[in-house]
Order: sequence, then structure tokens, then C-alpha cells
Amino acid sequence: MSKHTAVHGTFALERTFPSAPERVFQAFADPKAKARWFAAPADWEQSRGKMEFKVGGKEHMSGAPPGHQQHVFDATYLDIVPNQRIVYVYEMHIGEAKISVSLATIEFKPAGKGTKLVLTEQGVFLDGYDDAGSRERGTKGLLDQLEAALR
Amino acid sequence: MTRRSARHGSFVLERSYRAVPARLFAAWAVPEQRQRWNVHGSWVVTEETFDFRQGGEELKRFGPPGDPVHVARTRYEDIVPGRRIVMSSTTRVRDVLTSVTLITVEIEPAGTGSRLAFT
Repeated sequence: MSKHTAVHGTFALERTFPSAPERVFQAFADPKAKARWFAAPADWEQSRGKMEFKVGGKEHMSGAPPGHQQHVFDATYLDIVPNQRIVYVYEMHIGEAKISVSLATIEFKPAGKGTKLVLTEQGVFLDGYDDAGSRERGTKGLLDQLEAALR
Repeated sequence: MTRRSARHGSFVLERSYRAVPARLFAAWAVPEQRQRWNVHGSWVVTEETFDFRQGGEELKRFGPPGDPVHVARTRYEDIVPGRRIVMSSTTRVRDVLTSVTLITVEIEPAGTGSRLAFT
């Protein structure tokens, strides 16, 4: 009976970029710009579905580390305020198992000539999947890649 | 320009019920049963669609009698019969988006009844 467990977690990350909010927002809104940083490690075999950046639109990505099961990211956009805010819900699967459902909010705020980005994730990890902070570390890694892509 | 802001919050509610888990789960899963409890006090529901399945989306328009200005749209992300429901929901008041929430309902047997956690 203990198989169906749910562990809740929240984290928030803040980054300041020298680019203007319009440019940082664009890195989330434009599929080509997003593909430059929102990606699995280079040695993963990965594929990207169509990205529909609109309220109710979907985004799908999958990839597998060499010799491992497929990781799948499935998102639905719930709120978009151009240059200011994006809210989406996403599920992660590893193989057949759904490991998590998360609500992600990204806020873009002017900071001098640049942008302060605040990313908040409220998630539930399912059925014994032990996250142990790896989602937060992984998301930090993605923001590092975003920083590099904006340079 | 409208002022935009976002504040984040989480809460957990726990309740014990005399009903067994299957009955408690049905109170969410079966439309006629959910309609018996899913609006509070004197408020009314004027429009409601049901699509209780993984990936299913529902709409509920509700509010005080004569002024049903709240619209909730819910999407089911995960359903484990008798045990768990994970859903995301947006709420609009007079067409202004006021909240986006991730809700997890967990149901566990407790003695001859059930324990429910709502996060």
C-alpha cells in the first residue's frame, strides 16, 4: 500500500542577467532561442516536440542518458504575460513511471539595464522517486546554460 | 499598464473520514457526488463540465447567487484510483487570472475509515 507516495517540495532560484527583460523573455518564448539552453546534457540522445508558446499550449521533450531509460518532459502553459511572467505545469516521466508534477512560475523584473529572473517551482515527487534536491540542481544547471546563451 | 505580481504559497490540510478510501475517492471522481459538496455556503455553480481522467480538463463557473464571477479550469495530471489525484487549476475572477495552483489529494486507509491530505 505504501507504493503510492507523494513528497512535496518547493524551491526558488534568482538570477540577474545583463540583458533586458525582453531579451531574457525571448529566450523562453522563442523555440529556437529556447533550444539553445533548455536542453539535456550533450551526450544524451534527445528529441524535441513542437513547442506551442501560448496559454493552453504544450511543450514536449525527451532524452535518455547513454544506456538509460528515457526521461520525458511534458508541459502545459497556464499563464503568459509578455516580458513579465510565465506559469506552466509540467510532468516528468522516467521510462513508464511518472516521477513528478510541478508548477513553475518564472518572473522577469527590470534590474537597472538588466533583468532579475525569479524561478519558483512547487512540485510533488511520486511513488518513491527520491529527488533529494536533484531537480533544484538540474534547474540551476539550466540557468547556467541560459546565462551562457544570453552572452 | 496593469500592475503584475506573483506571490507564492503552499498549505496542507489533513482530515479523517469514516468513509472507506474508495467512497472518499468517488466523492471526487463521480460528477453527481462531487456536485454535492464542491461549492461552499450559499454560493452557486452555474456551469460545470466533468472530465475526470488523466489529461482531462474541466471548467466550473461559480460565485454568489446572481453573480457567478469565478471561473476555475482544472487539468488532471495524475490519477491513481482510490489513492491519489494531482491536478493543476487556474482561477479567474471577472476574466482576470487570480491564481494558478498545483493540488495533490492523497487518500490513505486509516482504521475503518480514511485519512485525506490536501496539499
